[in-house]
Amino acid sequence: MPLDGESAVSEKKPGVVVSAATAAGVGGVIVALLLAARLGALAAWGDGAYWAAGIGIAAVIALAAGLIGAGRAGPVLSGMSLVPSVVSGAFFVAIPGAVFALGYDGLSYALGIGAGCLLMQLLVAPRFAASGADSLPALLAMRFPGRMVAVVSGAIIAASMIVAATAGLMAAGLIGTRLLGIGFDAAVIAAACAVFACFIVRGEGDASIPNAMLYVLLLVALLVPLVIVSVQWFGLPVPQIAYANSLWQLQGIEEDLLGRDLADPAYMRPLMTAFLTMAPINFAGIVLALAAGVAALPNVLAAPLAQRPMREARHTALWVLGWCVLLLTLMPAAATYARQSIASLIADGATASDLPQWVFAYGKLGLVEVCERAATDAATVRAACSASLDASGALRLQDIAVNQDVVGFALPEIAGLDGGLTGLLAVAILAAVLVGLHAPINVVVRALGIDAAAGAEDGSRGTRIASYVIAATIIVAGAVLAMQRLAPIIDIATGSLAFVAAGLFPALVGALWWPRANAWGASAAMLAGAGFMLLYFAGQHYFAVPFVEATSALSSGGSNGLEYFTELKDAWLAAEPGAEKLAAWAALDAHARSMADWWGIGGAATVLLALPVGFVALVVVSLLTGDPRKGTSP
Amino acid sequence: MLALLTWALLAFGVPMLAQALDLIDIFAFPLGYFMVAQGALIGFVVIGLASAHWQDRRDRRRLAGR
Repeated sequence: MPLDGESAVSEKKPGVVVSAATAAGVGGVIVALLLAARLGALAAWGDGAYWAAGIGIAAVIALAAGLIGAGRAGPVLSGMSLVPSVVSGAFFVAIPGAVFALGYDGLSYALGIGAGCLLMQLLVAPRFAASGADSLPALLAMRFPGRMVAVVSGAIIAASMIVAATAGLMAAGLIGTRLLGIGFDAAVIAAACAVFACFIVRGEGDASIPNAMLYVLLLVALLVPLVIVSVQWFGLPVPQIAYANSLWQLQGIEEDLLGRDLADPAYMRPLMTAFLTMAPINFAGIVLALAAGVAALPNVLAAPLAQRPMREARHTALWVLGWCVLLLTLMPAAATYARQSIASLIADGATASDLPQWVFAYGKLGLVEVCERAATDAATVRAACSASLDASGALRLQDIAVNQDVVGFALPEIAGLDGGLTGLLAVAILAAVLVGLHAPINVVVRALGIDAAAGAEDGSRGTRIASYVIAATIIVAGAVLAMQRLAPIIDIATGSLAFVAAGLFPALVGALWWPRANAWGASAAMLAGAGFMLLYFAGQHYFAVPFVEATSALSSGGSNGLEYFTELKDAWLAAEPGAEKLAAWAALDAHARSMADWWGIGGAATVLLALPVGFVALVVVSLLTGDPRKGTSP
Repeated sequence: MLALLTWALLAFGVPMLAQALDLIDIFAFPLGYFMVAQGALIGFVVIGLASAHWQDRRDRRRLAGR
């Protein structure tokens, strides 16, 4: 706390005024945007206005946070203010997309985040609040003194937060390309600069109310289009209930398309069928990864939860859960409506010539493909489809491929609503990313031992500059990774939380619940968990052949897969050096990658293995070394 | 402890049983899908509420006992 009791009181009044002004301002922008959407202002202003509005809101929130000072909001608002840290802008875009692409299996992401909020309330928040620490790095330093824990946890926090920044910048970059019509890389750079600017202008005050406004903006932006679609299609204003109708209608349409030969059974992913795209064990693994990741999220274990009575922290965490659930239950509805819109398009006999405008708007950006070519305009689509379609020219379901990352904000356009609603969603997501990345960056700055608040107070420029350098490094690293577009946003965002779960969760639980845990144990837990994640990932992707050889008994390939593996290996050993050898190696490596796993576990679900490894390391190493309560350990 | 058990059941048990639960419909949803999309999340909120209530009561008793 930078302010003592007396000055906190004197600060309170301007805090209330600024909060009210921010609330009124953000509310005004929402109303204005909704009105603009009704009047069809999208075309008149140009989409760039929405982009500017997103940046503007982010700047207002960042500035307001500096002006408010050290006021304190109650559990309801504090809980609301933490949601944009849990359901970050990246997840907000990516979860509807994941449900859209994966169907039932995509629900694992929403379920995992909800489970994480509850886990945080049950296991982490009350004891964290009672510990007196004001951040996760501070808690670890207090409980496990010494350089080792600080260095290891700092590295893990920095790595996971860089990945979080990558996911956020990818989301902001996609929105930038859509609204500004510039290239993805340029849009990522623009967003990265805006994030850095927000970091600099932001003060260290209590950001609860501005962040709570951000949540309201996100909720309204998602709720409005969904309610409109629900009313228009089903006459029921509650999307969570109305989309049940859509699920059944979609199923009917898809069966109809199959019957009319307008859909290839191999491409069908019925929304309601479980485990089409991932094995049950990986579903459970993703839930666990997100749950433990959210519970140990360093940017959530911060001011609104810290240094409070246990009761207050418990209720704040409960409100985080409640507000999150409100948002998360809307997302499958968004995915279902988008799927039904596209399926109806095909069922109505759409041809290459009469596709709706949004197909080309996103096709120009390479985000919608029709007949396996980016749908830049009608002529390109006709040319691409002329080869593959029959005389009637009717498109088939598999001919339209929408990139899952755009579903989260393109829904209004896909569902045939006014483009202004997409603008509103884009504004909300952009602001959420720009403001939301402050907390992850800040926690890295803290973890690396720089107290920006103290720097601001005693005016030491060195500390400030050091914090800017760290922030810039994280943002640049995130932007460079974002430009690679290595995977869908959902995988990147989940990867960040999975790394938090594997690296930090066991040590955090040890710090809060097990007095016998010591610094050696915590370091071992962090190194073992994070190290296991990295090694397993590297083994699966880059060293698949040795991976399979070393652990063939655990592989999901079975004896048939192993037999084929041995065959391919013999072929590779026997092959003549040169092109033949390389081809044999490629075949061997590809097959090895398909079976380089333990019990079929892969991706974020590796947390299923890494968490036990971390806990075992914590217990064993702690017991082998000194008891911290006797003062014999470091 | 009870809260954690219920948490685990909702987070990991229910999704695995989706196919069996789909045979029953609730609010026009197949139950298995509904449970994962909304039911489990609502269940989390209920656990959270109940647990917060119990913990608060325990804290109050502890204070009174002093």
